[in-house]
Amino acid sequence: MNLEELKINPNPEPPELIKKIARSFVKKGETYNVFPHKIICNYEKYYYVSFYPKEDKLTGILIIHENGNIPHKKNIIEVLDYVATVDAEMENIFIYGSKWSQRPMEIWKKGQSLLKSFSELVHASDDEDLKKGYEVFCSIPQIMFETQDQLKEIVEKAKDLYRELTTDYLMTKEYFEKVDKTHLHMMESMKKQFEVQIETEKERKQFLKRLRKTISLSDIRKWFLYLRLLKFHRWLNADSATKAEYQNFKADVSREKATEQTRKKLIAMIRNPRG
Amino acid sequence: MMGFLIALVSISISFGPGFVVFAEGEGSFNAPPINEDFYQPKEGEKPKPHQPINDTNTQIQAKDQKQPAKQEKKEDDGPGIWDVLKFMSKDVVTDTAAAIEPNIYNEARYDIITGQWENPNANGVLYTSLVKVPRSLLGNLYFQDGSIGKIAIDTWDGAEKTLDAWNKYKTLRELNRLQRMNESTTISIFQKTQIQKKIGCLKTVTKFAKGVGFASLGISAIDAGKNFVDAFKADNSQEAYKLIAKGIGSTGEMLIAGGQILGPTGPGVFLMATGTLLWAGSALYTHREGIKKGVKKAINGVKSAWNKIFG
Repeated sequence: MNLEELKINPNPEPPELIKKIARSFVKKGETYNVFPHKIICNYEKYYYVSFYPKEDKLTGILIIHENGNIPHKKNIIEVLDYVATVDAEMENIFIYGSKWSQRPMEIWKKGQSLLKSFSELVHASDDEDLKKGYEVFCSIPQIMFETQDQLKEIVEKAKDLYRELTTDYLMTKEYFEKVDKTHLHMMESMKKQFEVQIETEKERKQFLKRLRKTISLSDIRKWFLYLRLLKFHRWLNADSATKAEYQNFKADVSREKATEQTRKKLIAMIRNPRG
Repeated sequence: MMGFLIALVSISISFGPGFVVFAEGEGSFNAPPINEDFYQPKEGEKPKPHQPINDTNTQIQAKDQKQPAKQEKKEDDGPGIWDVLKFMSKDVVTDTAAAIEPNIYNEARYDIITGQWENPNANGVLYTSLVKVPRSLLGNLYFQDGSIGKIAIDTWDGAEKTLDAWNKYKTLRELNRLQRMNESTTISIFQKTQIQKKIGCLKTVTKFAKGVGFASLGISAIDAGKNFVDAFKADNSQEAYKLIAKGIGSTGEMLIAGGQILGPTGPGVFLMATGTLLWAGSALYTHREGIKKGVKKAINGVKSAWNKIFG
């Protein structure tokens, strides 16, 4: 994905005044970088500056008012949240969301077709549990297709949001909320995909047991299809590591807990006066 | 007595028929003549006296002139078919293709030296056609190994190869820096797009460039193989060593081509650096006599200048 092509306007050059102030906060061996967009928080406009000795090692943050004043640290935590969250969440959507949305769907199509071949047999049966198990099993590929489409839409929406900011390079609270909502939507779609695989294991197992009993011994074709469905079921079963990962993911879909430590570190790096 | 008889017979033989005729004329001996025609007067034109050969086509060889050795004659045969083929395919076709490559895709490229995006231009093609190809022509098909011309050309070529390897290393270093930057929180996602564009440009080895690299690798591999086989068949060890050195040089060129295919990666840079070292080692061995002579001349020049000034 070439994000550069999405830009409506190129990155604006930060004002000399801001650069001059940023330079006065540079420590020995450090470089500074003024983010191209302004952040509007409580009707005030701010610039966000990062300091680093090496490209991959952030050592300081400074938030400068558009007029050149340096606000107190306690007043600009919200500004930091906007910038850090928008950057991290956008990146998450463009890197992981984009890759996730492009996963091949062939396996789910095959699974759906396999399940369809047992449709008549299941509906002809009087066993309600078999029918219920069948519906649960059928819901897996269905949810996969739905969420996959949602993920594609989310990536497209994120592209629109990216374009939106590059028109005027102004980051507002509303913009931050839109990005946050889009990101949350993505995380929930991913959760659904996990959920439908991991949490249906028992039902699938029971369904296959019941299905085995309904297949006639002479129906070799159905037995062959059953074996393929069994293989599909086994493929869906997650190992203990994936299950543990899912539990963590489920407990913190919005990633608030996971990012709390990083947020604290960033706050500690702010060079604005404590006031 | 016996000794006297043997001496007499020896003398008779040594004087030949002339003596016998004299003896017959005197009547002492009545031996039949050896050849009846011998005494017959010669008919026809009198043979011309022996003249020194002055014909321009048949020069008399001076005593001090050396016979050309078989082997030297072999060396003076000039470039062989393979040399010409190698020059045409590697130095003309593949080098020109490599120079044309940026113009085929017609995309701006990020120059790590200037730090600017530069549009493709004809400079590379001009340099190849006006400098590189004629230089290779002189180096491969005209100048002999060890000659000043060949040493100068190989030094130039070696300097370019070293610069290529060094630039590849610098590209790799810049790529790593950009990748670190891309993964960090020091810059905004709205700035990262430019970084990602640079990464994409520096990282990419186009299919065409890979094709050119494989062609170059193939030609160098054949050349290396040919030199090693010839070394095995060589008449003497000196010739064999020379061919082995040339084979090592071609192996170096093979590694350089491999490095070009891999692009700015760790293994790619390693191959280019190793290849350049092998090539340089081979060139030094091939021209060692010429280099020695040059060094000696230079030392003597300095000595005589010293003597003239201070002596």
